[in-house]
Amino acid sequence: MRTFDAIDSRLINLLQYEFPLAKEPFNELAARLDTPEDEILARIRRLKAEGVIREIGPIFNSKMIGLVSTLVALRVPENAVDVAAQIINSYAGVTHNYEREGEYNIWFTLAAASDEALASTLEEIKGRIHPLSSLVVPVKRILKLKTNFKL
Amino acid sequence: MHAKSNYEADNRIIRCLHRGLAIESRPFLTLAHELGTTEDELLEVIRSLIADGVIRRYGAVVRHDQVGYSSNVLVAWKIPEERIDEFEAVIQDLTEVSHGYERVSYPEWRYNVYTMIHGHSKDECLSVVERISSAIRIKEYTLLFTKREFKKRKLDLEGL
Repeated sequence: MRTFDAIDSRLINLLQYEFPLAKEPFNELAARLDTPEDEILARIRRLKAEGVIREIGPIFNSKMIGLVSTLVALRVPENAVDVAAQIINSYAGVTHNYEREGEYNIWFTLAAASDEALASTLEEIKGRIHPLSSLVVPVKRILKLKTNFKL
Repeated sequence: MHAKSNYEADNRIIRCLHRGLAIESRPFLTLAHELGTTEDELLEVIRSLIADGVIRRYGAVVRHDQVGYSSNVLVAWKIPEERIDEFEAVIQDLTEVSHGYERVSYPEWRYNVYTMIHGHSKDECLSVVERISSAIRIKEYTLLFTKREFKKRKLDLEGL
């Protein structure tokens, strides 16, 4: 498992949970970490290049920006999984797509701008893959939504 | 004023913010110019989007497998309708549980609650599952371990 020095660790935590909404956010972080801004910027660029940080930005509530979404499970023969995965990946509304253990072996999330668009995209995907069976399991209620990846 | 329609009208701002921040001294200035506004106004918009729950959080998205949380498991549970509140209370304080959802179920698939559990190892994930199971006294669950990740990325708003 990789390790981070003290400044990286604190920086990663602050960037996730206490990002300053200010004109010079990185300068504020620099002050908090008692480190020059240039070094903070360089560290963040490195962490992005290494794939530790995907991005800095807003995490939207998708419903509040007018989107609908669902989780979908497919049961696909073992030898058809790769082709099915490629087809699913090609859709812009798909953000997560996994092969999983269990009866339903492909699980993906699909978002769209309307219920109609969601339903028609799903039909299209199923029509291209012909799964043995499928489940469409949209959220009824959020019970918890709290990532905690503190270092 | 109905929040949703208002934000749909602000589609341009949403799309612009969604692209993320440049790692530079005044990252909001670039976005503000593009939107024909000022940094102060843009920051104010972001604050109000957070206050209204349109933005859940503003900050870095990390790859959890890169920061020590190398193992995770999606667990589907069969929780009687009237006990979902109790289940919700059990998972609230468990920091290893990042997501909990009640979802639609079917006669052929009666699992109706899903949790995403993260840990530093598979054993750590399994012990969290055990803890939840004994706290709620329900053993009907299935572990949907990841075999392969085909895609994980933020939504492509431009492609929708």
